[in-house]
Amino acid sequence: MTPTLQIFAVGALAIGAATGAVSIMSKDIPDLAVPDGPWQAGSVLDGQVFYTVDRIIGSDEVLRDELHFVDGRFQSAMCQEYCDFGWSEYETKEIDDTLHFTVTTRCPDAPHTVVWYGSVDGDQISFDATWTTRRWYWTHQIAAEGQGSVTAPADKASGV
Amino acid sequence: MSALPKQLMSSSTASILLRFVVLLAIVIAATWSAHLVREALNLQIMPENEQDVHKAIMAGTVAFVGLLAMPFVPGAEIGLAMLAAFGAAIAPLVYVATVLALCLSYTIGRVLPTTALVRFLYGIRMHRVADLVARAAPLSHEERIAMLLEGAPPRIVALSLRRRYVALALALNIPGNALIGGGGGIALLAGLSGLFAPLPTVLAFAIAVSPVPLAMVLLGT
Repeated sequence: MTPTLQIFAVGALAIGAATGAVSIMSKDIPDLAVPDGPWQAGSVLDGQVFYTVDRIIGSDEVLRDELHFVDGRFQSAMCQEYCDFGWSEYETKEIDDTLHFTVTTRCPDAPHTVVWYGSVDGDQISFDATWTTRRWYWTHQIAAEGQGSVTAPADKASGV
Repeated sequence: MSALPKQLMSSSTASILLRFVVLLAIVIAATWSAHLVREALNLQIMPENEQDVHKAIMAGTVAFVGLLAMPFVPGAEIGLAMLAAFGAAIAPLVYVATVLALCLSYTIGRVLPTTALVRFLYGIRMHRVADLVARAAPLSHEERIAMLLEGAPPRIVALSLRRRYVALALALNIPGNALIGGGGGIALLAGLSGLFAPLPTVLAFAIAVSPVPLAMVLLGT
């Protein structure tokens, strides 16, 4: 091995060891805990669109979103805008006449995982969610809660 | 044991204890200040800006390692800025990047022939660093260690004769070390001296730079 190659090999080894050390030292933050239960592949909510007002826990920032349920799959318009999450299969369970749903979505282009857990009562929806980004040097999480209904807000309905 | 040595010992213990408490107070004050700066900056990482923040952190880390490894170039401020902006979560990255920068500087000092290094440094117009290396070049190994500890308190210099790795770790933390180029300069000279074996040196670096990141992780700010 030539000296130049040796330097590159040692450099690669050092960077590998350094990134490994950072990953080990960084604390993971678990995704939103979804209660166990008789979860079944989703279909009950197919065809519904919910317009929600979401609050980021901690900063109290308010965001508006649209949650689409189509053919057993789910999509958040806001997540789609931020990171092309695409469609993800959702699950539902019914306990005491309340319909619960959960879905885990992952961005194919970046290490983002969003876990949703909520309930639907008639045309009203409410949920909790965590957006967790796991980079090699840290884990960052945004927790949010939201609620909404199938009725589009006035600016959407009027096409503004 | 007579009363005088007992009195001397207790006064020495009290002095060490006092210094330790003062050091602890400084570390706590520094981490609390970082927390206040972070609160004031109110930097929110949201889905829409996370990618940009990630790119900024990567660029900042590369710049941090490169600058910190260079003697006389202020690089530590980037690490402190990262700690202030992102808090304890970024501490492992800053910590490892600091150790990596010192290792880089040490390796350059150890591997490259001094004449080639001096020529290269003059070539890229880093005259102060080149002068430092040129000054160290004709010296013996022991004299290079003495140079590495220039400006250090006499106790640390005395310690270097018995516990050179402890002296190295202390030299990295003393305020007067800017005289020989700060952390990068000390690590470079340690490499140039040929008296520091790689593994214990890395260990000394790892321990020497740990107080602030460790305090941030423990205090969770």
